[in-house]
Amino acid sequence: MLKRVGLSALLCLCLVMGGCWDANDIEDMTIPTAASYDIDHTGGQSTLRRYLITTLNPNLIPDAPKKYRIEAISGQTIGEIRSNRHFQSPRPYVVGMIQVNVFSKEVAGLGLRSTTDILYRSPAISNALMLAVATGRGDEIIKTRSENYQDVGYLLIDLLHNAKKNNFMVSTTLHELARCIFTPGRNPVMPALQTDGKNIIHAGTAIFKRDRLIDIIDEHETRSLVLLRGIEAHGYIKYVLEREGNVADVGTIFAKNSRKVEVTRQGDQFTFNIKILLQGPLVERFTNQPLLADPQALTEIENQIATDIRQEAEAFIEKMQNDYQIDCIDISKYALAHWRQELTPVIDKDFIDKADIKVQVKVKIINTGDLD
Amino acid sequence: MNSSRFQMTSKQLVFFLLGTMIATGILTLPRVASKEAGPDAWIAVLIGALVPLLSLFMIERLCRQFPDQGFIDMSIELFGRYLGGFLVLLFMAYGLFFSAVVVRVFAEITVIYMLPRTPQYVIVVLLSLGIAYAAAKGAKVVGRINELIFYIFLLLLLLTFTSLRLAEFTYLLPIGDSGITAILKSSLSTSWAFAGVEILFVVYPMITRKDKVIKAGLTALGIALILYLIATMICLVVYGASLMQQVLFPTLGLLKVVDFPLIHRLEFLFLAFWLGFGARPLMNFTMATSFNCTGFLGLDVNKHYPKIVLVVMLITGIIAEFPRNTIQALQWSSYAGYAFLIIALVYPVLYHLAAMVRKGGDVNA
Repeated sequence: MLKRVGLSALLCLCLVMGGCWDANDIEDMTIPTAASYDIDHTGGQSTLRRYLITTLNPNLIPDAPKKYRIEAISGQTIGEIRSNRHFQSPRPYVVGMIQVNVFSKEVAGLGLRSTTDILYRSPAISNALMLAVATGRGDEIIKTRSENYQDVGYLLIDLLHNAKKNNFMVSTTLHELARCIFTPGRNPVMPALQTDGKNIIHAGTAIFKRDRLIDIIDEHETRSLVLLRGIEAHGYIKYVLEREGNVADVGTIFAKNSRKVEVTRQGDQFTFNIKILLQGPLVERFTNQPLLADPQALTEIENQIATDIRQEAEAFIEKMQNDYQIDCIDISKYALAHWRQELTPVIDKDFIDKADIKVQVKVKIINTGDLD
Repeated sequence: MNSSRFQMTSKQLVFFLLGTMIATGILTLPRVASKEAGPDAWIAVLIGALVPLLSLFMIERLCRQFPDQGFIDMSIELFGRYLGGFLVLLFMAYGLFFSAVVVRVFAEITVIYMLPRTPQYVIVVLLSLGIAYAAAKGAKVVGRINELIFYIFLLLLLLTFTSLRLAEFTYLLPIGDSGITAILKSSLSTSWAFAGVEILFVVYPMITRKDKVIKAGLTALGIALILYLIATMICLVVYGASLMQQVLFPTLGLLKVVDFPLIHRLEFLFLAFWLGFGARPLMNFTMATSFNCTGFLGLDVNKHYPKIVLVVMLITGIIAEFPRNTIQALQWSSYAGYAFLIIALVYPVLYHLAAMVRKGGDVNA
């Protein structure tokens, strides 16, 4: 009896696996690696806006003249775009390998809920998908002709993956976006990209209120944002040391950052104390005066950098509280950690602009390289 | 009856109970637990474990009074032929329903994550055939398969730790802020995740060392609780309670949030072993229900048990096809949770009362 059951099972398996419903030959697939989202203005007036999705597809056809194809398709929903795509490109479309999505400034300004729902809902798409905002149109980023990379997809992946390793920049994944959109008191930030047709550069950071873009800040303010938000990164920080009104020294440190936040409360007044710690080596110094002969110099450099960073951070906090009126430095969660039930209904309404936010910066130069 | 085929060591009992308790439930538990309790979901899981704990003690104390009798004989002795028979039938219906829900949720997850174009019934049929083959081999084989798969499952669970690099520990605070009512409400739902302990009613006579049943049960329950707590806490710190409500299978989703060099998609590694892991409760319940059914019909276990397994599997497969979609299948799993509460708590209480009444009657006589 058991043998018969076993044989039947094996037979069924053979039959089913031979004509598997999900069987696909990799050579018959289109595997996009990057995509951009724009608003399509060519369709005329409609009650529903039309999106234009441009994808970068590495060409898997052997001996094809081009290494990649760029496809731009429009539709009122992302699903409709996928459907329309198959009128001109019938190969199965494997969305699971998309690694970068770039939203145009216009799409981001309208809110990302409608365009990201399909991404988050689809089990095939990794939630580690990198996201960015273009300062102009998203398709311009995808269509950039990169001379140093096989296609712009590789450049984008490289740019966004390695952003935080050598500079104070932000990077955001689909998971982080969803976490910020759905959690009270949190707002996402995304890297902003710009192109001149040949190169793509980090142009700063896109600030969001929930899923809607409200501003793009430049790379200088991005440093303050990164340090205040506690995004762990490594980066170079220049200093100019003055003594008695004269420039005494100029140099650079390469530091990694960390953040601690304390929150206290007196009635309805909340006070946040943000402590930023920067530590790393001194990598450059214009003055020839040996540090061993001037032991105070290191402390002076540390203090100078701490003062510069604190002033920049305070300026950014002022802008955040007065202009944005949202928490883009991700500190509300510390208040929620103490008074979650009480604050959840009000945390996104005038909470951050009424809070007292103090910043302390500590700089620790851990070595001076090969020279003293 | 080939007695050795339906014998189980206390060690095998540990893995058998673990296999029955931990399956698809661990993938949804963090969402279910945090629905009411929010950041206190882990406390709800902790409290939820009290239901199976109570059930374990009650069933063991009861079965100890009837060490050589099976569930059917015990039921008939305590409640008489008709009421006892009805209770056994109800238990078997529960076993079928529970198995059907497990196989359906299992098939849904397989379709969603692995085989989107494969008809869901094909997965149910294929899985059922494999399960029927294993269950037909008897308790000993089933126990060993449970043990083997458990070790693989542990390795798979370790993968979820990789998502901790995105952990936000403030999501766990403040402890107890959601209130005792919300936590208790949630713990009712979390107790469903421990469904499976009631299978002891059927397998108790198969255990070789009856004195070690409690120890084995507690070990299984303890391990299940720890694994559930780990899954819930990791999900809480990675998603937060609010986002978690949007994710259907948060524990599985943990493997999607981190990008790995070379492998890239960890969830596919998990899903590669998913077939064995998700099928354990189905295998265990099929074995128990078929064993019960064979006894209930008065058939020879050696001769007829494998045929009964096939019939049970067929009925399970048919019931599994009733839910119209994933959402309805998940709704059915909550009905199975309510049924578990009845079987795990009401049954032992009822049987204990009957045993007390009977004992009292004997004394009076």
